[in-house]
Amino acid sequence: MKNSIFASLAAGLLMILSSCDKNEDPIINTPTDPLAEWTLITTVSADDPDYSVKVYADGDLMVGYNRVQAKVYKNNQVVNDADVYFEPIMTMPTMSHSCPVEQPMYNATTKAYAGAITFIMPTGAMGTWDLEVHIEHDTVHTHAASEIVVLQPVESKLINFVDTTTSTAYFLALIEPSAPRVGINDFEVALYKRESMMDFPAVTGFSMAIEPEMPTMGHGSPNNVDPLDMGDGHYMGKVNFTMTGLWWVNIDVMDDQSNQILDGKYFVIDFQ
Amino acid sequence: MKHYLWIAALFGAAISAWSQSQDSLKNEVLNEVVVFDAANNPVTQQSTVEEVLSVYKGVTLINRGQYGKDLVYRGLSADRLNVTLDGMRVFGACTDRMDPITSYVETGNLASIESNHGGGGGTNGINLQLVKPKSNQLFKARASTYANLGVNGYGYSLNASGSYQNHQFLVQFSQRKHDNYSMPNGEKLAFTGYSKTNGRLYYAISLKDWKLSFDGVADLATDIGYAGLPMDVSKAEAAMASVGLERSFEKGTWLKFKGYANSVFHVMDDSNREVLVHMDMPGWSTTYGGFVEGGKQVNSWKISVKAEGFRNYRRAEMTMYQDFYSPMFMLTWPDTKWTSGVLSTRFVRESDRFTHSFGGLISYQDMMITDSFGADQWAVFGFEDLGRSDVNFSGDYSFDFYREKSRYNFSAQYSSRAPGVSERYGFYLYNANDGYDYLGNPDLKTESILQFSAQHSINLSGWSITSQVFANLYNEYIFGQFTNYSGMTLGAKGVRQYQNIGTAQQVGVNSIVVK
Repeated sequence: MKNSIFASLAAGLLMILSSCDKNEDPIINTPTDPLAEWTLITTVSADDPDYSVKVYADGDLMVGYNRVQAKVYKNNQVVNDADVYFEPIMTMPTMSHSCPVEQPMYNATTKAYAGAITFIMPTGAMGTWDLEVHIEHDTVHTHAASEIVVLQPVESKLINFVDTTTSTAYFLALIEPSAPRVGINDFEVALYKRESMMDFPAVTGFSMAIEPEMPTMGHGSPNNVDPLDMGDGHYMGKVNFTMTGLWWVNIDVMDDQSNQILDGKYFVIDFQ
Repeated sequence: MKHYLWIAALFGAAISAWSQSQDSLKNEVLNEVVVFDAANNPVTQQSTVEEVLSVYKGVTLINRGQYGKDLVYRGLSADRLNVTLDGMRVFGACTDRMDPITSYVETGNLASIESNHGGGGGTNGINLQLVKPKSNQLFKARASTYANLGVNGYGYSLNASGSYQNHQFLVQFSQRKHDNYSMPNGEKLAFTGYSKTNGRLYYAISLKDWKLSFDGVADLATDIGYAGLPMDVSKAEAAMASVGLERSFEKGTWLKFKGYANSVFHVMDDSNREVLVHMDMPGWSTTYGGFVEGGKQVNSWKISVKAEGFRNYRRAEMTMYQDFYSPMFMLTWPDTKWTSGVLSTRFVRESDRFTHSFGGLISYQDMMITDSFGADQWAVFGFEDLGRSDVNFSGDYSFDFYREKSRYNFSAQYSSRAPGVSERYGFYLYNANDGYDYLGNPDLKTESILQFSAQHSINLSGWSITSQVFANLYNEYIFGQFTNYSGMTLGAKGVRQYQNIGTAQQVGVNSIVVK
């Protein structure tokens, strides 16, 4: 009797002290289609009726940086050995212009040509966007064109500015954090300039500084890493958020002569 | 780097108006136990537990409001001080220490207070003994009430206890309701009221030499105002339960088992205040544990051994609400799992002339963050390895001798302690006393302390006068150092982060007069 009381007490204590941790193995679902999570923007036939194109993006097309993939078909077979390039055109009443583009490369995983387009204005009363996909395959040169809708996001992910000294227009697009969270986030932007209405090359060799700030609370966060030039106009650093909510990431840009050409502008990041 | 910290002005004096039997005074002088017998003392009914404790020598109180005063014992507070209830570890759920565990019991629950030497997390502690019915006690019931016009408060308590054959029971229920203060001009001072309900059930059955007991305390306080702070406490609740099994053998030999669980929930909010940004700050603390303790008389020595284990889970959140944008959320205490095991022993030799007491303790503790959100918060500050295990030791010696109406005590103690949850993982905890946000430091090392004290007590025609000098010498003292980080709390002067700063000294004098 006494022993059994001891035993049950001891067992109870042990159970309490060794109460298990809730570590459940997450079930990993492998999607059959690597583009299943992507948004199908348009399906369009090319001028050459043998060819058609499906254009995907990582969400609705927005002003700012968009990852875009184009799946090219010839007689309904996926083509993997073509040269593909994107040409977005905004047609306005008096003029037309393009925007910064990272021309696509074939991606064997998604079986699509993956690139990026940085739209610099939304579809609207001012004009409409068409996306032309040029295909060079075997001896065929053809292209597929489709009107696309570009939306203005609630919080802008694009900073336009002009270097008044050289009268150059720049476009600074926020790429990461695309899914901001509390902790250390990758910070990535792409910088382009307007050389002509149709030519928006990437800008390299510049330097940048960032400083996050919570405007509601008047404080920042420590240990951020300023973006460094990674080539192709991409600059990568780290931004730290110590809580959810509204953050401003202030960003300065210095040209290759160390002249500050952007000051007092910020990206708005709001998350929960 | 050498830092000096002098707290020399610790001088507390209190004259208490209630009478104590000569018996209990004698008890205090011998064993450093103060017997309140508050349950049978109507005068103390309207005092809070902290106010009752403040007559204990070395105890001072930090007031943040009318409620939940923070205990300081011989200059030690917070993570340096263990406060236990009948040996049960209970940890408050408020990151700002507005709910010391004494706020979750009632004066009527309290039988006595005793100092502990050493402890698992902290170097020093005090244990609050709860009232228990004696075996062979006749049935006793009491109802008492008070009304205090100054604070617009009233309260009542109902107690019943007794024994029947080999059963003993105790039931206690009390409520307090304090409205806002009335100022001399007749206006009410906002945010000074609170209400509190406390209930306790105790049952024990004696079977031959064994006694099996069940003890449960539930406490709920609501709408606690803090006139001096920008926010109030909407709810502070605790439930505690324990099962004990004791055996007394003949002549000084005893054995005790105890298992317990308790859960504390505390919510700070400012929904009654006009502020720019409304916030909620709920906190949770759950503790499971148990111990086995035994004692034996060997010649003139009383020897006792105790093995203890407990695990504490803690979490505290802060959410601030803003218009148009997402709420601002962070974990002020990330989900923390703290496991500790403590082995201790004590040797006491008493005679009419003197008492020798010495003891030793070894403790193991492991502390870790169990959620990725908390880990991500700390990654911002460059901390990746957040878990830590420590082994700590303590040893002490105390010598008392008695001469006529005086008692002299000299004691020395060495102990080390691992950092507490706030010191290790606290995330921008605002300290209203100095206006800084405090950041924990997962890399903190254990702090050690060497303590010396000398004390003189004398009984003069019913007055007991106790004077004490103590010195605490710290090594790897844990202290909030200034940083360049920007403060998180609106209006905070900046951020201080806990660091081991080398040595520190603390010297105190206190004196207490009790009639």
